[in-house]
Amino acid sequence: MIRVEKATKSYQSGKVKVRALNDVSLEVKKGEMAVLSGPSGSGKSTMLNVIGCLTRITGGRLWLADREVSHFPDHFLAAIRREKIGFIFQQFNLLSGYSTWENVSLPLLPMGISEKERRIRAMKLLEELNLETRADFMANELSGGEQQRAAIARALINDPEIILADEPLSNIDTGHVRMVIDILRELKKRGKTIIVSSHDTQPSMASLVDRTVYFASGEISLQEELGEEL
Amino acid sequence: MILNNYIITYLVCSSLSLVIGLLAAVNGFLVWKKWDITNPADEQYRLEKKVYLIITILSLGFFLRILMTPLWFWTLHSMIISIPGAMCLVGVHNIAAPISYIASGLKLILPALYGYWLILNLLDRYVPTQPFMKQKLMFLTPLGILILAETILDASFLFSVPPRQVSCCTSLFDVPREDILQIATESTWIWVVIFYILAFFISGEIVYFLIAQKRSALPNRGRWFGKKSLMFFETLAILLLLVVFILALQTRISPLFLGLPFHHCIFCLLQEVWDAPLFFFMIFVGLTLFLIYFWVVSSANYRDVNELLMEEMVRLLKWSGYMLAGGLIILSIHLFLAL
Amino acid sequence: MRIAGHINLWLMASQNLRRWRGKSLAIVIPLILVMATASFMMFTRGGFVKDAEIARGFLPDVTVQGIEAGRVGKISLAIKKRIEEIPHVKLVIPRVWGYLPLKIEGTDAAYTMMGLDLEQMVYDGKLPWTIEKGAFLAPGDRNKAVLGQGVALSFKTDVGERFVVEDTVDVGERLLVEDTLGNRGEFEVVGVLNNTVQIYSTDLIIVSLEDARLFFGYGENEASDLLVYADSPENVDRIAWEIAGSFKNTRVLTAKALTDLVKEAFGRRGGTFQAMWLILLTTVLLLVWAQSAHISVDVSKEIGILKAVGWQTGEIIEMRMMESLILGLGGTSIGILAGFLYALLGTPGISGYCLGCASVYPKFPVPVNCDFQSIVLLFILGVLPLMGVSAIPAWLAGVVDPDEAIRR
Repeated sequence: MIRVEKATKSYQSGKVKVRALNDVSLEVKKGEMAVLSGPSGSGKSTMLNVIGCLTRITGGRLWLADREVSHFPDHFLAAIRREKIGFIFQQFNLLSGYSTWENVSLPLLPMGISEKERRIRAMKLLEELNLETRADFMANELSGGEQQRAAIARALINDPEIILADEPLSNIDTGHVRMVIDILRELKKRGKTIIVSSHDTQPSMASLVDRTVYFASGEISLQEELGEEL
Repeated sequence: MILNNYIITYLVCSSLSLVIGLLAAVNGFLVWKKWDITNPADEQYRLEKKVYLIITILSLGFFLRILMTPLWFWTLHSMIISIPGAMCLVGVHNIAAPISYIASGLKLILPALYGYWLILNLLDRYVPTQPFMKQKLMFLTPLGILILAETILDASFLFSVPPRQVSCCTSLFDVPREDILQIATESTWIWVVIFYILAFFISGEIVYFLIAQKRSALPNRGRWFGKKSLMFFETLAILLLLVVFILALQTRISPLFLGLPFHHCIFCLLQEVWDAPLFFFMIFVGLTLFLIYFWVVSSANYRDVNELLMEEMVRLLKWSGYMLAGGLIILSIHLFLAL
Repeated sequence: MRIAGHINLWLMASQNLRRWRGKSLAIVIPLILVMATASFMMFTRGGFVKDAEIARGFLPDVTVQGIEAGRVGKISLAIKKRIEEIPHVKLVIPRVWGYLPLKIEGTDAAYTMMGLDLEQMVYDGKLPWTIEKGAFLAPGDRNKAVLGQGVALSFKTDVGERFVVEDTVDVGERLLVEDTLGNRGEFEVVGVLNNTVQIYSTDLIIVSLEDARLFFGYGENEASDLLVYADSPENVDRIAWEIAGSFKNTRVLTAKALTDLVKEAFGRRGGTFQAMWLILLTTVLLLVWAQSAHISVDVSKEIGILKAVGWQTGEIIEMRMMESLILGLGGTSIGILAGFLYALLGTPGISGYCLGCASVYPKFPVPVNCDFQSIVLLFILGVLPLMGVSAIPAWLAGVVDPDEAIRR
């Protein structure tokens, strides 16, 4: 499903060239859940952004759903993000000037879907996530856990095959952590391929994880598949 | 210099068009130099960003050019009262011929060229490898030069019109009859006949290529893809048709539709006969779309991407056919009624 | 993208403008003011042009004036008969007229007294005016006058002025006039014109030919000009050429030339004003650039989020361009409406400039005409340059790197 081959990613920071990723290769099969683990600045979020086509690699190759997308133009990558990938951010990243359902349906706007249809689809997801009563609240009126659920709903609105979650549990209280993990379990059951970046692995999530990739200084230091080191 | 609201408005649009054209040309050249599909992905992305700028400003430029065409003729019309002897647009053109005629011709040509670029860009974006990128970027330099030339011509004309006496269309198109090009016969119907023959030939070609294009994905089909010679031939054929069309309008159709035997002025025809701008526009657009089809398929890369672009190319040919046929039908009905 | 997608982007663009109200108003208010300025000038220019076009229907086909030492002077009636002999000439009518500088409310005002040959100048619709009150002059009338509306309205009872008037002059009352040269006249007002063609009629005092001759000191065989009527419009130019060729000390003006002269004068004035107005427009465009080119961290982050959830760069650019388009269309529309209303109210404060007269008496409402082409020109001027300066900021917004923007 997802294959990265010798990916490198460099940023120019003033006069210094920073290597965020250095010759990284990994593979995530369809339906698997992989965790990218490591301290801050280790490159796990960059890796997630590369897989999510939010940033381009400087070198190497990337395959998504059996298509090599390394040199795809920007609008093709945007289409992949729209159709195949759902992104859940650490900071939720809901737009403050819009209501909950409007935030959830944002990916549908440029597709020409009518407001009525967008609301129907958004409400369906919000009901699944027990957020239907907050549908018309503005995004900044929601609690942390509610915002996270709204962000998850937005990530799922186009029924993507791949879910990418950047530190999904770090900004919510313990009560909601359980709920988010249950959501991820459900998504895995539906056959979604899930990649989560986390600086520490939650024990309650361990049973879901098929693969763990440890990052350090932009390289993979260790890969484990179902508890076995690769 | 004659100064009025139309001239000022036109000059504002012309300045904006020039800025757009030059910006697109410069950026297009810079990206064209560096564009290579084997570049690192992030380097390609930086170049793609510049291409987005070009697309943005050329899209705006296209709408601007569509508006500038009628605005140009309105501007010339507003100058009639300031030029002694000028009764209509021909008189205004005569004050600075041939600059004025070339400038007016460019008002039709440039929107067509913009249209070609935008269609090529649209097709290019259907394919991940963007096979027409170099071609469309290279096109921007001559386009920019043409826009610069047009701006200079427009400014020379508008800034230098002196209030001197001119002759109007009766001296140009009427007596002596030697002004009117004759071929084979003294009758001016010959141009209408030749026009229809060529138009039916082109229409037949459209139908032929439409059927052939639909079958082009099959093995050993699509032999015309990548052939520059066909592109040159079709360009010449369509240009010839356009010239014959203008002659037919001038010699036979204008006097017939305007109801005056010596009134050959095409400008008056387009202003006074309600359906004349319509059939003129439809025939022009139909031929332009057909020409664009050949300019696209003659690209060396086209064969590789034909299957991906099949639907769009068929649509292009269909619309070309609809517009040309529609224009011919309207013209024919009017001819029939006028007779 | 389907059309529905573009519509959705349009709706989102409008929503964004409402969200960032301050920034939107900062752009649209100056735009409204600038477009209102352009509009009222264009509509008043259009009004004068329309007046001239209406008047053309009533003007004589050819007006022949005498030239003395290179200046317009009296014309001898001896050439009247010779002009009548030119083929296709239907009628030749002498006319005597002159300016009447008077003082009203302490200000110098210019009126026109015009004497017509009432035997030939029959009130049958050939004149560029219609009667609103009373009646036109009849053949044989002496010491009687028909007034333009501006004259009727502007005379007041003021003791001590250089002229003496009874009251606001109306039908049946007496008009006493004395100009700066000491010429005096006393007329009974028999009619007041309406303002169908204000540009020609508002300052008129129409009297008989004999009265005008007496007032201005013309001899029996003299006139200010000759009004020539042709038997058919196709022959007008030919007649004009023949008169010009046959009578050297004359100036020959066709109705078309007179109308074109007015149109050109006001067209040039409109063009000159618009050229200066471009400075105002440039200022607004610089303001728009300053507002749009700076992309705040919040906006940048929003764009990053949109791209992360699947929006394309082109869609972001399109949405931003639509924001400019909405501002441009909205600001221009309101500006045009405001300009039109201001023109309808008579351009208070600057009507003198609009009219272009040294004095603004008699009271002369500025004519207004709003036509399709003027509206199109205004929208072109209001919308396209705005979109032009918005293109690069829209592009800058569109090419924001999502991963960098979201991290901020």
